[in-house]
Amino acid sequence: MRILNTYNYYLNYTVEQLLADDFFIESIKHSSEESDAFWEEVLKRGIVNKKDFDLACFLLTAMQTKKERISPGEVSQLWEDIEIANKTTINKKRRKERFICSFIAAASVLFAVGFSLFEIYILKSHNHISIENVKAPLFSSTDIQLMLGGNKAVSLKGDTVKVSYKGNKVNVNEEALNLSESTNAGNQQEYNQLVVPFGKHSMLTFNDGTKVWVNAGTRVVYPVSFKNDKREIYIDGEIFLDVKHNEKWPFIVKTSRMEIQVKGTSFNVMAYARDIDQQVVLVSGRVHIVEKNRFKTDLHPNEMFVDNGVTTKVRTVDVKDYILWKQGLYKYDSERLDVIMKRLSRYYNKSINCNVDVAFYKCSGKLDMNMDLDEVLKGISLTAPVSFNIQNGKYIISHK
Amino acid sequence: MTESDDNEELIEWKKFLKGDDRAFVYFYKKYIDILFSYGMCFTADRELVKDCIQELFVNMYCHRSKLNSTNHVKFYLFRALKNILINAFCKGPHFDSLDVVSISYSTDYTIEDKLIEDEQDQVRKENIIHVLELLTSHQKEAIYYRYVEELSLDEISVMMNMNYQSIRNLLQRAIKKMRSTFSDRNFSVKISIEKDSRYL
Repeated sequence: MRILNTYNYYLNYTVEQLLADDFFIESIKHSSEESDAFWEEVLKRGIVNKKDFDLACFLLTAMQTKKERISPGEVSQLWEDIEIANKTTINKKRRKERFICSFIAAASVLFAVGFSLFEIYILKSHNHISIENVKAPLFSSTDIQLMLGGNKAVSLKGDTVKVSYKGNKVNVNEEALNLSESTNAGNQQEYNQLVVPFGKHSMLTFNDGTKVWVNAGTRVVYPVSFKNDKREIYIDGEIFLDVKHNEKWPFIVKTSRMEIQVKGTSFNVMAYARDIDQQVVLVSGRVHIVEKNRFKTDLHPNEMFVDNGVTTKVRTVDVKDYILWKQGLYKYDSERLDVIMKRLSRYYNKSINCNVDVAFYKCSGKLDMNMDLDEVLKGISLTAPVSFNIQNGKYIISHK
Repeated sequence: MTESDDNEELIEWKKFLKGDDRAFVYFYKKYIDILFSYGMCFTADRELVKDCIQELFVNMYCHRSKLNSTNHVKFYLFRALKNILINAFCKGPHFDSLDVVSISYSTDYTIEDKLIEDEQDQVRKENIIHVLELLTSHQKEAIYYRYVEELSLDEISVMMNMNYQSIRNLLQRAIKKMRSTFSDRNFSVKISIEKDSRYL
């Protein structure tokens, strides 16, 4: 911006000169107190002829074009098309690059080992980190991991594990977790986290009686004991909650993009931070959703809130379909095949690739995920024109 | 565009180049309206414009490792969209000769009603729109970049594939034409900038 005492710079400026001046254009299009005061002074001193100034302003505003507008419906349709096209294109590219990637992956593991020492050091020096900034464990495990205070991790064996907090004790599958004196659940300030890898499940019970069903590939962060003013947890993944009612003690679920505030209800949240879609489905009671800086909404029972990254929608659904995963069932209604496969891949912790020509088939049905993956895929190949084969432990779904 | 807005945008651009998909969503949401109305200045075919915007964003997403850092995202997006539109025109049924392909810009003008204070201004408004309609397609396009989207002269010369001086002359001639409509005698326009009337 021009230094403001150089009024004389504009001495006897003509309409043409004003309209060729960046500062003039900016002042009129995005006026600020500073620029208004500047031009007021210029006019008061007669440095620029007022008629010229007014004419320049008039012409500038006259040059605004009539805009053809895109409708909100078109905006979200176009976004969906872009997402689909992105996935298709990336898939094609990926097949070529997979070979190169395996080399890079090996190299980055070496890097990570060096980096972890540094990371732990930094974490220790900050005592008050907010819940959403608690770091995920650096190394993923094929077991369910319970991270206690002081960076102590406990691996829990088994495909489904129940973890519950009672007073100062932590129970795993109804048995008290044997903790040495120095590492109990951690002090009041600290967070614990439960990390459930793909292919596993867990159920978590908090001190206040709230129950959380944790789906595969999910990380839940929570304080050792809830603060007096609110009960707050953070999730990256999918959970179903049955929140113990307490009018004066709000329960808040944070995800990478939203904050869900409740008093006592049961609802399902699917919000994997690396997915673009996030959704909340309410079974009973009422929830209030606040999205980062922009959107607030109240949800009623049998409603689903979806944020696809660009727009948000609320629609009525059959909530039973969305919580069937608790019993190992999965129901889908005209869902894209690649979305179904992504879910199966998470559940069974197997790599499943959908060929592009079948990825966008819409399928409806119900799967029993207590059966093994081959059985489930056989079931799908009976109803849709697809077949599957296994190459190097990876499932590939292609056209029949 | 304000400076802090510019900064925020460059930070998002860096995040995007590093692989952050949320930054990609940010640019889509921020620019979809502007890009659409810009595209519609070259054709009346809404579907074609949407297809081209889709191609633009898919290219951006899938080839992000090949994208350069830019210091003006809007300029990058405009230029990319215009190139895609030109390619689409080449392939389409509109062109069957091997002439140099150019697409022509056209638009309607409007003056926001809140700026018009009385009937005399109404007449003036009609006059100026009449003059604007008489400008050449090149002049209209340059005016759009300069006064609506506020690109720099350097950026405009890249957009229009013309040198800096030609762009200056083009703009100057257009302004002169508009200016000549209003002799000093009949012009005492009343415009309010913001809501106050300090310039009246």
